[in-house]
Amino acid sequence: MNCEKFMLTHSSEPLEINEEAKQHLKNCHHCTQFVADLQTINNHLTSTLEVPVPDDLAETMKKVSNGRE
Amino acid sequence: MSEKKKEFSKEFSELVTQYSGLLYRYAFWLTGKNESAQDVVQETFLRAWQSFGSLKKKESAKSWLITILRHENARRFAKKQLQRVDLEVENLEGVNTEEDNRAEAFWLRHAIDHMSDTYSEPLVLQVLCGFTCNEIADILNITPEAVMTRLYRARKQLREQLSSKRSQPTNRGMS
Repeated sequence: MNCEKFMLTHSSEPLEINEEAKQHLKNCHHCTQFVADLQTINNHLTSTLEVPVPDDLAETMKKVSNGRE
Repeated sequence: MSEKKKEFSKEFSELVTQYSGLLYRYAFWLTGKNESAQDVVQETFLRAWQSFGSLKKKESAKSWLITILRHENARRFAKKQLQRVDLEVENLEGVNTEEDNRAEAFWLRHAIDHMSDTYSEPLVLQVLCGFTCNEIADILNITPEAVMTRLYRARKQLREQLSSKRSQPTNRGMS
């Protein structure tokens, strides 16, 4: 596996690192840094996108849906 | 109400309980506003209720709802599809407590907002909704290979901007 293939694969499925990818990581500082950076980005992405949901949202949606029956 | 209809209604109610939060967050990302997000989610569930009988597999419910939400949002903002507005600042309160994390979270939101939808939407569908490449491909009606490429380019852009940001001097500690 080369760096280009590793980065493409890891970017599309960051939670899955197969054996081939692990072997590549052992010998590639560049891709190790790439993984660390992506981890940081993913963590921030998650916290950025997970905005608070209004407490009564589900109940409101159920009432609205029931009202249209 | 007949038993069959009661069961139908119960199943839909469970769907609402399970996915309303996810749909709200996705809608919030699309619209950038609490009220608009709630409106889009409401329209989504109304539309979903009307065609609930067409949902063949419960396992497909999440992607089915997201697809409906995308259509509802596109319909609602016919000429401004997927165009987002700046995030309401108060909605990020409490997301992160550490100053550095909050600063990077704001920066990241800004970076995503200024990224082409072509790249940002697959990323949000993966990170927020947890979809696989194949599921994203179905939702966006593109090939899984195209999804992989877009996810790669999206993260590459963010990584480059992150590197650039980190190399910039900060004003911290200056009076």
